Amino acid sequence: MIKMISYTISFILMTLGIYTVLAKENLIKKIIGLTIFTNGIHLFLIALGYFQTTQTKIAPILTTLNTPIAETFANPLPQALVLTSIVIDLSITALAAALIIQIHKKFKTVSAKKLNRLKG
Amino acid sequence: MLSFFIIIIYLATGFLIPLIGLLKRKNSYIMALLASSIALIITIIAIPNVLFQGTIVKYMSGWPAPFGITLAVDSFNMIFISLATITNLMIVIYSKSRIKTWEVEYYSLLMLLFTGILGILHTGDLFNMYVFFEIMAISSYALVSFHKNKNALECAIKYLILGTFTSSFLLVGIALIYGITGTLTIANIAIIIASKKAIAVPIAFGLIFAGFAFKSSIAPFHYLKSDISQASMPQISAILASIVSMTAIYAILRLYFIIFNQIFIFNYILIVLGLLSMIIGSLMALKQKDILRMLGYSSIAQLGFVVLGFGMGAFVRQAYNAAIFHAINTVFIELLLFLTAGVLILKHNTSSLKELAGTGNKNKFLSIGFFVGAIANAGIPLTNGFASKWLLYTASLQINPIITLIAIFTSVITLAYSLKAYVVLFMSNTDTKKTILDKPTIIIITILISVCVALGIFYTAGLDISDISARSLLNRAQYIKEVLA
Repeated sequence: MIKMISYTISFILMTLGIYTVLAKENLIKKIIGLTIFTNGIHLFLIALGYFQTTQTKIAPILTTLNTPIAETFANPLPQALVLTSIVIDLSITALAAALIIQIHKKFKTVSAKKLNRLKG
Repeated sequence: MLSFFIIIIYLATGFLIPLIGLLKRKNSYIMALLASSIALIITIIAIPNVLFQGTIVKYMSGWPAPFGITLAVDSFNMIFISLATITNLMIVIYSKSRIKTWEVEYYSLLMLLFTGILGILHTGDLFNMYVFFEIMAISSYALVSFHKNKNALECAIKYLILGTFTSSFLLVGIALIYGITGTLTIANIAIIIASKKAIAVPIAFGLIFAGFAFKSSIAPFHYLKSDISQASMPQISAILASIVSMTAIYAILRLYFIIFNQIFIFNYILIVLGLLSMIIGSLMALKQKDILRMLGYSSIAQLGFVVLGFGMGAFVRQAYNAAIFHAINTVFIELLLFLTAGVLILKHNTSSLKELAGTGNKNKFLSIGFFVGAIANAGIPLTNGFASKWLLYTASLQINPIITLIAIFTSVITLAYSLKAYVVLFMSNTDTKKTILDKPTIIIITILISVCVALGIFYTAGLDISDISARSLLNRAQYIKEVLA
């Protein structure tokens, strides 16, 4: 149940993010859209690592207990992946913000439509 | 074993340059030069190892294959690794007299860009590949915006938004693969995925393909390539047009051959995308009025040849050899064209053909360099471009003569616009002063010219290397066995 809800929310977040990136003109809104999109993917990854059992899941921390507690762990790998991905996302957002500040200084606008010096 | 240290050397230099650069900004060039020379020496030592031992595998922090991160090198990687280290050394030397301000940031970003490239080329782990891909991507966005003029800023933010958007799809693809198989080691995924018939497998491959193909800028993803070429510095355009594109193509092919075990329809898709890139690239290059935009479109056409070759390989085996050989040749040709034109562009601070007309007419050496690049780009005999293109023509004749016709048509158009650029830059009459070249630039351009001519005359050597690396690309079973051993 929790897994299905997480998947649904993650797909809603991804769709919202994609819509924001494609539809909004404002560069800052586009960057916010990218962040929402990536967060949707993060939720998807976390939900992948969640196992549905009757037992309550605990964080995967190694203890000195002798009892076989490994089945009660949630999968730690997606959590490690998401941590890495959050750092990447943060650095991209920081670089984008720096670029947008420079663009605002030079062009006096943050609208993507008005950046049309280069013709593809 | 040895070549794994290159990643560490590049990464360490990338972070040490800002520290040592605080003392004296000139030091950053020496650091970068030292690191890239050591990397090239390591590569040269590592090549025989790979040739004689087959796949060399390194388990990070001692965790065996399916659990930890693996780095694996075989002769297919080794070709691209050597190309990357050679490119890095050349670009560092070329930048010496041309980067006068912000050297610390420039060389630091350059080393980080090559860390990403070398990481992608070494890794045998899917998520690790994504991390290195993002390192490469972020430093390339920063390098594109380096001038901080209007063009560069506009292009950099477009590149950043679209690049992050597409690499997010790559992350979705990797998450899907992890959901299906429960592992991230490429060799292990290949074993598990064979028994899964989920519809998500081709979807995941499509998403991963889209992520990498945007960086490689082949046909449906080409729309930003010419802007990037025009807005960034010529040496950065050269890197992005040659080795970064090749790295992305390498990643697609590695995953396609090992994980997805040649889904047959994708060969046709590769052929169609290759032909599309060739047609769009060459026709668009013909009407450009800006030398860097022209070379950017030209590089799309050359990448089209490489992709076409890999698509045809499933039908004619020798097309794989031709494609790998053409990948090697394209890197050298693009470097030669961008760097020779870049001397004039950086000197006169413009890249429009009209304003640059005749600026090189007193400079014999540069004109020879650009001429060799132009005819090699078009595939005229006695240059390296001819040898690989001829093989592609003969291979395509065995499949469909229409492909051959399109390929020859592309080459003819390439000759037309390359010679047009040559005539405008080096043969029109103006009274500009001679551009004085510094020694390092002369050495680089001499090396590039001689490589282009030597690979054209002694093409059998290049073909032998390509054949060895094509064999290890196709030998899927051995790669999986040696990584999981």
